[in-house]
Amino acid sequence: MSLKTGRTAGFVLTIAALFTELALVSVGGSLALPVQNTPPRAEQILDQYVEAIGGLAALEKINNRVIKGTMEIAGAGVKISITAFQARPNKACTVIDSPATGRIETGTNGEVAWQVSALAGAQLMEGKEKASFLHMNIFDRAVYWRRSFQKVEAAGEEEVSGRPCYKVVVTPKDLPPQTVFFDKETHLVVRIAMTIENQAGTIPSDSYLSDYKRVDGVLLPHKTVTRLMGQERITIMESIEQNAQLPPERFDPPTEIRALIKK
Amino acid sequence: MRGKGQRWTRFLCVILLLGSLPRANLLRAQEAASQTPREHQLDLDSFEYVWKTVHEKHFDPTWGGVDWKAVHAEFRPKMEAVKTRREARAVVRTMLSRLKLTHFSLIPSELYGDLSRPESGAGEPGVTGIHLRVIDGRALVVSVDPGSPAAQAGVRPGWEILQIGGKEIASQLAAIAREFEGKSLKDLVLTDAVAGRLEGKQGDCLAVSFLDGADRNISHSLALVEPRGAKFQLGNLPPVRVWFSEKTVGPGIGYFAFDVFLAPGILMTAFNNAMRSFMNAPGLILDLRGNGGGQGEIGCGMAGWLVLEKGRDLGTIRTRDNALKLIVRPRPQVYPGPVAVLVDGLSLCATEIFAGGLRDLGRARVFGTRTGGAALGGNIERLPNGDGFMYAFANHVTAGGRVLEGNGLVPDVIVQHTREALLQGRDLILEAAIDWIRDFK
Repeated sequence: MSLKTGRTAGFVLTIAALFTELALVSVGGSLALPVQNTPPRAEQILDQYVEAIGGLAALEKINNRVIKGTMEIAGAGVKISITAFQARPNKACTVIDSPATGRIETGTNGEVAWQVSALAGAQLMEGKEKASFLHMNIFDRAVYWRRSFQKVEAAGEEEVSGRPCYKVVVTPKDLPPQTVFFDKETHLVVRIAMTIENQAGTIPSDSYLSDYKRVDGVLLPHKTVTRLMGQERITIMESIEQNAQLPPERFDPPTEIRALIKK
Repeated sequence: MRGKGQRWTRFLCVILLLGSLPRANLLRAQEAASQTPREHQLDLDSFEYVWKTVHEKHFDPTWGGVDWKAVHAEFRPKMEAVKTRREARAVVRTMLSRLKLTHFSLIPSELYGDLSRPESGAGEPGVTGIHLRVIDGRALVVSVDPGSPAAQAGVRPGWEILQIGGKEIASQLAAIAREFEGKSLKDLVLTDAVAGRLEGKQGDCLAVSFLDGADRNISHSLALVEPRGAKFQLGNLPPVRVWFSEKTVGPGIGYFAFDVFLAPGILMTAFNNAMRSFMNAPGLILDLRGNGGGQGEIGCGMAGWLVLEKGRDLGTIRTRDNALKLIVRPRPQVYPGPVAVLVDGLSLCATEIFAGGLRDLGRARVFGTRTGGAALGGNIERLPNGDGFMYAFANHVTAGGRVLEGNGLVPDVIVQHTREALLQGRDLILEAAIDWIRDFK
């Protein structure tokens, strides 16, 4: 019997992706959309979204986040605790621990990306896997979307959970495009469809963001439901602390990774 | 050569293939009781859940050529007519059997343990300490847990089990052998037919008759005790036992055996430590006989100790929408010596993928007998009536392009136990691996 056979690589990256979706949520720019009859341009939709979640001034006061939560594989009875640390400009470290996975730490100091786990030991990411991971962990990458994405394009309208939304396709440099859905009324991101690339292959991922709550003046989603590999993964952010007192070495590569870097 | 923990995972794989698997007595009474209207509705809801899940998540959108909508039309009336939970389960199992695949099965709700209960004690599943294989129609003891009731009674490898609880087993084995002739699961089903009878509740006693090494009939009343290994539960998988053994054999050859690919916190920690200690050994033997499988990614993690090249894989799993390689990520330090993997008909799924993958990569030589051929990616969900439902969401193809499901993995060196060798305290499969490593150039 093989349970979730061979999912480690995609699985871990996906968890990281779930949390970096928060970075997409907390975006920047504060241009209010003028009243108009023609469909807004992608740039306008993104800027309006920034305004909706609190505005650039509030967002730029945030230097780091500590997110604690759980991820449950719906129906399978598997629940995993997750702690994610994120900091400007592009640092991140996600720790998951469960009987199903053991302890897995995935992180980047902005230059190297790594994973340390009982399953696979110490690993440095390379190639597209690394590029994807580094991109996903740009702090508030959507705040600075003009830098984070090579191209943004409006792609019409589509309903998400019965609500009308704008579709915007954002394309990072050298990575596959992502489709982001913005609620037409609240201007919040409610869905992100993307592909995750790693050595195992390309994994389509479809995430639905909800339960927005204001934290330090910024609206952040506290629930994400991700459809991936035929499963539904429910991530609940139980607490989000911003501008936490983090030790300077928080994002340093672990000892095992430093040994690999020296090789 | 393994205990109850992994028997459960084997049970999951084959439950639908064998109409009369041995099960705990507690099951029989509960599932035979008449349904209340609410229970009947829950069974109907469960039937629909099962059908819909297969319809939406089976890795093959053609369901292997089965008209799945027609199957619903055929079985729904039968489901509406059932009177007991047993009948309801039989309808669902028969429906699932149309798929002719492992990993589509029901797990009776009664068999989910309550993890909040003490680790052991009266009423918990109990075993005698005997591990067996059915060879040439005879149920032979292949090992005995040290200190177990069987060991204390003097039961030895090579003894033949003749009767359990006063009932002889030969005729049942003959019937099963006929039904499963030529099928990869034959050894598994035969062995479990006997192993299941050797289980019960801790504290109970079981009368077992043997043919000993001198061909004498001997009977013992064996107490049932806690199985070996650590209790572990993953999601909706019923509790299993995770057991491993590390030692050196022959001329300092590293040996690591384990019964299931689960509990990475326990298993991988032990394996990682073992690999560090074996790094200078002249060879490595991974004993996966009786290993029921589990999480495939554990096999990838283990292979990282053995495969030097980056970008290699243990094959590909395909869901309805995706194909993913089971990537091996080499460890900073990789074991360079020869690797022997021991398998048999009770080696399933993640075990087959691991052994087959290492062989395709030219990194291991496989010894033993053909594996069970149950290599799919499965998931377990709980049904409205409380039963567990296992379904396959992915198939697997080795790096060499072979499909293990239904076929099994044929070892490079086919060798199996004999009664004579077991009575002499010999393990012919292990000896073959040691000889190969000893002669390895």
